[in-house]
Amino acid sequence: MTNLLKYYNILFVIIALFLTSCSSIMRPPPAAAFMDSYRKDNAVNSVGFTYYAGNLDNSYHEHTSYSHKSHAEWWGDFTFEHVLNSKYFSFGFGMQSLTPFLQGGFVSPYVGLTGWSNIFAIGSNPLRNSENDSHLSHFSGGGMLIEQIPINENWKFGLTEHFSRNGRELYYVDEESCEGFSIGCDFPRPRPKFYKEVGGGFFILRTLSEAGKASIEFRYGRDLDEKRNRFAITLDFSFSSPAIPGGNDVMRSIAQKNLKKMEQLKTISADSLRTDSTKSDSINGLHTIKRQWIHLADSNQTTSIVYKPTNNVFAVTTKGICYDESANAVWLKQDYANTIYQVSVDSLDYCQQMERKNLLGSAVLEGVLGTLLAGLITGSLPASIAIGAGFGTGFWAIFNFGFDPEDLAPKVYPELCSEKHSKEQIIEWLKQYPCGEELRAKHAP
Amino acid sequence: MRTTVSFILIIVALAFAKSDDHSINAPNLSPFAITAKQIAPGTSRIFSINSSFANCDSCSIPYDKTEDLYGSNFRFDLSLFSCTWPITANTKGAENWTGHTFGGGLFLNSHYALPLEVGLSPTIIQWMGPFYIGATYQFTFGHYFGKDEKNKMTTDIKSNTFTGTFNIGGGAMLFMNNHGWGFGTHGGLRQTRIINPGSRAYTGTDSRWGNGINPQERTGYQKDDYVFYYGIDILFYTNVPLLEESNSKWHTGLLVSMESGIRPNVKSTPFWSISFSLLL
Repeated sequence: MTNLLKYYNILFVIIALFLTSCSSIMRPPPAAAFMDSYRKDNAVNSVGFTYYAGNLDNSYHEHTSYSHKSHAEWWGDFTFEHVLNSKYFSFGFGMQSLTPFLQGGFVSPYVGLTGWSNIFAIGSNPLRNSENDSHLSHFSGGGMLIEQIPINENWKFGLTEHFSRNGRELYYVDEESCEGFSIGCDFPRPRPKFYKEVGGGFFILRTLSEAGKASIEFRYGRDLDEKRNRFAITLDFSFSSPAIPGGNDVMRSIAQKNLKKMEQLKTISADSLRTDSTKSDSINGLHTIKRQWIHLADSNQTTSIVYKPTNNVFAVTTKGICYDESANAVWLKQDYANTIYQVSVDSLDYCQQMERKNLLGSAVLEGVLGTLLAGLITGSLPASIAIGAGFGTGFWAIFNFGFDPEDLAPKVYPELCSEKHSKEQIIEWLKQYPCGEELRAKHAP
Repeated sequence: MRTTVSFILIIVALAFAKSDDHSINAPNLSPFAITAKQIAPGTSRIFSINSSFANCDSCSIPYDKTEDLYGSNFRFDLSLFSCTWPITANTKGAENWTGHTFGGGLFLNSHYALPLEVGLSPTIIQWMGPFYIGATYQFTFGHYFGKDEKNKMTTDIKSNTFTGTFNIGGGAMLFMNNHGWGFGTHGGLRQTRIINPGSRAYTGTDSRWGNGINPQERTGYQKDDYVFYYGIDILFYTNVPLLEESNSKWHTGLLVSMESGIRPNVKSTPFWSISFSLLL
């Protein structure tokens, strides 16, 4: 749980940044990489370059009495995409030059049906509030039907048919200067000019290695708005790599580390010792104690989270302990989950009782953030301070009274486990917690 | 977690800088739907933060002919009670677990919104294969403050409002169990209410200096609107039976859900919202 929450930090930031990008100019993404994702546990990463030809809308300036527009449709695009698959469904996201996009749909060895959209249209754009921008006015996206014929193990041939609303580039020359806080205003920024397109094409995909593929794709599109013919030739390389980890991926990778340790450790599931499953803290044969720090010789001796108050100290917490004198070993309960693992008496030392991490700093931080937030909403200093104080106090109260203090993050400080005890002292301390018969019987050779 | 919460608060706080009025909206149905599906088995608690905006173009209000209204809301949600069916047999997870085909749930959700608004929302969800339908009604009590002639919140102008808003809709989700990602879309009809408890505004201009003069109080208003919306959902979840090996107490889900109102021929979107939900 704690490990997963750490991962959430990164995930939140990535998703938020992705959703706040704002370019809207997009043409259909390559089809071959999407089809290649079928039944792959790894992600397919596609890197492609597309060359546009035909009757492009460029090299033309449009002057009116109050505007100067440069029609300079680009002749090429780079596309980067990360496609995840689960059986007959694939989901991809990536960038086409400046435009972040999503793609998803049905995939199979022979037929695919996919849809895509720029992120801005479905995410941020609805926030715009001006005469020129109505809902979904910045939508670039469409749908594509793909038929694929595997020729042999190394070659595949595919046909595509698509209908889309594409964006192309248009520059406003001598436009208004940027106002307020803005980044990149001095660079010429393409504005989107949208058009509907219907078309089709074909692709050839070649397997280069176990993980690598290359494809070349030709596409014809008819601009239904301005009656233009456009052609696109895409050279695309794709390779497999671990997918951006989802919840189960993260869980498996954490479990994998612990499984390696568990091969070396003697472990028992706590559930196998429970007679009353409603009492989660009660494990027969094991003593339930206030959460306690234990100093271990190294990090391979535990499946709990290892804290390092100083470089050479490996400390874990536990709420369950017992001493098996005959085996010269101690059984410790994993800090969050339900495994009990054995550690040799020679490899451990007892330390302080766990103290909960001080909530004051977090409460003050939340209070300050609450004050800022309330200030923006209310514009009133007294109200902001009152709400901020409420935030801070509420945060403190929720964590102080709403949770078991022993389940909150422990306070880690340099003096933790710095005191060393003699073997006699350790055994004397451990003798308080002799193992019950249930545990010894469970682990009898 | 502190970093995450701080980051989100800053993002939504920046988005709020231009808000004029308060808006009241029933909660997003997606986190309840995912809990009812039990794709992350054993999850029953939902913690959410949500930021939403409601607009009304050229709406008639008491003291003026028409005006563009813009209300916002920033809230914290906590589910107080949940009852899902059928009973999840293995809350520790299972390989290839795809959730209950006909799962459903009843929930009681509470919320607090800035500055002084609280509410309760009973919610019902029913899945039918990959699709679900749901409905919620939010009872809201709020103590709202108006703005003075300098557009700052003032405690002189205030009103208490007890009201309700509904949200009915449905959606679909696809789950990638091999990774623990879920992607979904949903939509429906929701009632949004924009509340202004009153304000004070200048009624004249000083001829010498151009400053506003003669501030007078304006009556508040409440505008109801019914908005069709769509939403997209990205879910991060766990359900493989590796709790002990990964040193985890229970399965979890994290949902990012965004909603946008649909109405052609208006210059601003009638409704927009983003919510982050943690399912435990």
